[in-house]
Amino acid sequence: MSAPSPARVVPSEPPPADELKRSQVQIGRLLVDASLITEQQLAEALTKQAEWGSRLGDTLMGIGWVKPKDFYRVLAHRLDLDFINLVKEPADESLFDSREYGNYAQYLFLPWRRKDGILWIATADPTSPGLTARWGGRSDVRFIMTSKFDIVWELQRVAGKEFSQDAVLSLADLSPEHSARTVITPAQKWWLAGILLFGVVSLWLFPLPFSIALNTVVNAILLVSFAFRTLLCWMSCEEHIGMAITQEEVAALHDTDLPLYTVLVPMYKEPTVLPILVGALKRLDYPQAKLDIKLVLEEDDHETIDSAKSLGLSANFEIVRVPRSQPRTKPKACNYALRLARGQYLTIYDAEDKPEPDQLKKVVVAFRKLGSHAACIQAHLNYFNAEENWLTRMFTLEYSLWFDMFLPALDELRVPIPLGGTSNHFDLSKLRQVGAWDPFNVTEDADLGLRFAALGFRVGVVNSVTYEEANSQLGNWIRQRSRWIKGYIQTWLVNMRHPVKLFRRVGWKGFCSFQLFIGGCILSGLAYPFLVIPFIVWLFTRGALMHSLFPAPVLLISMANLIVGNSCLIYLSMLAVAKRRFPALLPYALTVPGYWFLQSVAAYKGLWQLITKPFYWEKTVHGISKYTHAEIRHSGANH
Amino acid sequence: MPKSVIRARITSGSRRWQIVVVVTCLLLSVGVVSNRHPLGSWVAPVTAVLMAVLASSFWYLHLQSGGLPGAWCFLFSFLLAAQSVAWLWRAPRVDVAEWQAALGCAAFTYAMLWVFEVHNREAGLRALATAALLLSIGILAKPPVLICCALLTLAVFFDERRRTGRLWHSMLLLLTPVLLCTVGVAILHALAVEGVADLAWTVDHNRLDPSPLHLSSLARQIPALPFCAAVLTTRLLMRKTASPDLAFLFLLLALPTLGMAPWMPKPLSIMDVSMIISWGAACLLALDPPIPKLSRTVALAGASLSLYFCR
Repeated sequence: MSAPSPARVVPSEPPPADELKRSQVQIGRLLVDASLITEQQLAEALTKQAEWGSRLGDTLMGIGWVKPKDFYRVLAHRLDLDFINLVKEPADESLFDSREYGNYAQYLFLPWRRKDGILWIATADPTSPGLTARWGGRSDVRFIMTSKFDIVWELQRVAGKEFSQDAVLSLADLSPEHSARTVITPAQKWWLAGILLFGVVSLWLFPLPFSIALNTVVNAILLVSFAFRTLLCWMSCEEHIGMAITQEEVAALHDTDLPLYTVLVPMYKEPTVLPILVGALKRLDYPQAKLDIKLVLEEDDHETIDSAKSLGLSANFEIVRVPRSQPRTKPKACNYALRLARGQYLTIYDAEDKPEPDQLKKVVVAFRKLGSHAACIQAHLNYFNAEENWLTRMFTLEYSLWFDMFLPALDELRVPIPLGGTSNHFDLSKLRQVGAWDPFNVTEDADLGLRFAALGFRVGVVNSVTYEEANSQLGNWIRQRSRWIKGYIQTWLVNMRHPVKLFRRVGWKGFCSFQLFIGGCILSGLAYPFLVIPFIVWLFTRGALMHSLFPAPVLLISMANLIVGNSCLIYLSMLAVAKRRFPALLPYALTVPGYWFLQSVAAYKGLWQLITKPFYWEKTVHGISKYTHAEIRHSGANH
Repeated sequence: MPKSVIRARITSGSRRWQIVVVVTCLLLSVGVVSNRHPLGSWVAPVTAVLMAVLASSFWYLHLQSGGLPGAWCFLFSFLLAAQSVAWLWRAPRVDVAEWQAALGCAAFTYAMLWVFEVHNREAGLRALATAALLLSIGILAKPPVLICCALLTLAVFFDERRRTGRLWHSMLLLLTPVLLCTVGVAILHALAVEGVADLAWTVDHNRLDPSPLHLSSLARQIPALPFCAAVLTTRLLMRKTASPDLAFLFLLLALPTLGMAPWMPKPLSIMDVSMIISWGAACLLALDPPIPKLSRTVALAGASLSLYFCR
């Protein structure tokens, strides 16, 4: 196309509601005339459009009755605009303004070309208020129609490198104190060196008293940590703890009032589970026209990209290709996709996630209830393949304890909540305000939860569950867990750069809970074998050295840890599954101490990786469960 | 000046006054009891009195949270503390370990009755978890008390759990902590030739000096009985009887029986039984404090009578 002839000046104000309605019906008629939809589909779409408060095009494309290109062609015809394919006729990069990238993504327009003193703006939404506000009423500007996928594609082509660079560096540049790019600060190095030196000298000069003191301190911290966890669980045994959104509250929501919701699904080499994911997202009880779903894929992950394309997804699904750059982490991919997000709220799901259908609506209610300070709502996570093997049972016990017992109690205490890996729902503006995810932190979610708390925002927990696939293979489990523990250590180090500042920001309750919950988690993983094995060895051998290491008071604390602490933690797992109503898992809780040994193996691997490969993302393979295989076969048969 | 401010000042003023009285009583009691035991270590009676006063202060708060006026709460808790001090006064010697064991058993009973009341009000996982966790701490109490409370827990919670799960699962939920703790201590006890596990057991048991209970002289030997009878009468008058009352009655009957059983490794002493009865009744009183004046007066008369018998 050499010179687009028809040109219209966009009005300075959006059209009134009744005109818009008439216009929607006219577009619908044009689609019927072009045999793109049937009369019945038009009638149904108009009904849904009225129910959802969305536009006809979004409704039709969201349901999947019209292909985006066809719709935008008809819309161009209706608005008397030309239609261009930006893939074939790309935009002039020199016209792009990096300060406007956010507007381009949000309002779906971009400067295409300049000809004869006229600036041509390619848009997928000529009636958008953002477009009107920016360009409305200007005589030197003309508009040309394109599809939203072309806008997204073109924006990534031109700005992809910058987005990618920002995704990696923006937090580290804007707020280096919150970034894990520097694993350990010089001040922390001095502290660590001082403590090590003190330890070595003390061990050399006073070997026995120092060993006893160290033993006592570690045991005492663990005992307090156990007590804190017991308190959290005890609080969570209350049925009505935390924010419970009722079915009545969900039913009272009007679809017309629901905001646009962005769903990010970062994936890497997971083509097989894609159909399951799509099915789960389509089952969400949320107007499809108001979902902005982004499959965030690495640009070299051709198999998943091809698989996504082959599914013929409806237009509310977009594929975001993340350029190859280091570190190759999930948070970096999410930061990249964040630049293209348009919703008021945003959530993240993993590839194999199955959220409860009303989750997004519950979150909307929760945000409205919590008010303007709420930045994030975490949904509960649990597993659909709990009964697969011992490891999945242990994982389910652990997740039930974490999400059904610990997090609601932390929420009740108003202390920082380490977010779970998926199903965390953000207020998009606040997420951007705090600098989004730290791409150098391998438990970016936990870190973000703490950062929200430190910056004065509220993180809540909502009573909705997302079912995931529990790791059923030991090697895969160790890889995942070592990454988590490495991330916890990173998070602890980042937050402890300025302990006094942290104390002032989150208060004494928040500070203590951070130390006991995150610090205690790291310490228990690392110290567990050192505490249990020598104790057992001593019990059977009665070595004199060990005898002197456990004088009466230390022995009492150790015994309390060993007997009461372990018994309590076993029992807390039982309570968690009783609350989750998985009674079949109750007896398996008795075998939890074996699982703690595995945690220790993972903890040491995580510590080693922190030293050798701090930003390396240990990929967890999904889709290995027999349940997932069965579902893939089933969905393949249906396809 | 607004009325609320005046009321707040009066309240804070009366609270200050109460604290002064408590501290004075504490000092007087310590002085009196220490004077009674001039040759023995003064640490023992002081510790014992302090523990009694602390426990009474806790009861004061519990009564007050139930809506009983401050002055009445103070009166009741003063009488209970006085009973304990009177016990110490008439005892030929004060053994802190014995006293501690008796108070521990009483506190355990108090907590269990409270949990039953919580469950009675709102059945759910929290009451059950509290009971199960309490039972695990109960291994430090004497076996008859632990056995009675475990039986009561089963009776109170089993019906509810039976509806939500299988028998085996319900048993696991109710008894896992106490069984794990018992097995853990027993294994350590068996493994350690001299010392390790003994530490846990000797904290209270080995140093006890059990004086067996005689049914014929119960009323004379256990001065807490009038207070207990008064509290139960009060509950009947107020029509507030519920499962904690039944549980308490069960304890009244079962504890002396089990406590005197020849096969029982650690029998109960009179002090144990008296303390359990006294604090059990105190718990019942705090669960639903007597608001009508008649009920209050009956309970107060019972407490005074018990103090009289303690002399």
